[in-house]
Amino acid sequence: MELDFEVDQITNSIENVISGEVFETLVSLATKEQIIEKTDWVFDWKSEIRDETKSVFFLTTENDPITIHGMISLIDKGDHIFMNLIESAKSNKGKNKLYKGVAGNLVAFACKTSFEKGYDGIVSFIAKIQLIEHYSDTLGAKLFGKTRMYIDTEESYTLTMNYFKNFDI
Amino acid sequence: MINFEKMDDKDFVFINESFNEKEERVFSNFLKERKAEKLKIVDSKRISKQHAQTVNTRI
Repeated sequence: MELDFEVDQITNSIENVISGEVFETLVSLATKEQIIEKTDWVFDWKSEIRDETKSVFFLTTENDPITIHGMISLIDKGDHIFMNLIESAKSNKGKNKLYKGVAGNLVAFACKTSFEKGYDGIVSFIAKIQLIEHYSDTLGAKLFGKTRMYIDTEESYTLTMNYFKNFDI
Repeated sequence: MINFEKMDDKDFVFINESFNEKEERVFSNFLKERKAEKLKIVDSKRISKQHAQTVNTRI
């Protein structure tokens, strides 16, 4: 199933780690014509976009809609949203990242999508073993089986409301 | 529990794999059962409330 909306979504913001300046952000659906510099990304986002079973979204700031700060690939599973891939731009990775809040924005977008689809906010993903605790601590994600994690309705609502102030179920 | 402060301490990485049909069904059934359970609780609360109102009206 494909997600059936392409409208840009205004999210909360990302913060410049150096200046502390906060920028309003947009989440947009990536199209096949999307310009993606291969050197900026570890994952092959072009092939992810070409895959029609997935919907890829990218995060930019309102004042610079060209520079992509992060990307997420979602699959509509019919009863929840599955986060297939997530990646912050090279400049937003590691301890010297330029902007904070990129991953949070994108995960919250997945949560919001799940509510909009009528899936009670349920979002799942496969976690790297080493990051299970981090996802549990920061997203409130719960483990199902060995590596599948899911964000439950309550946590999903908290995440959505934190990043999308005007969201209404 | 959600901790927004710690969210950027580590880079988020998901494993780019898909589950087989059986694994998908197990999770899907889990979601279905939970939803049914929640609806049952809501229903029983509604019935209790209605019952209490009826009793009050009679009194």
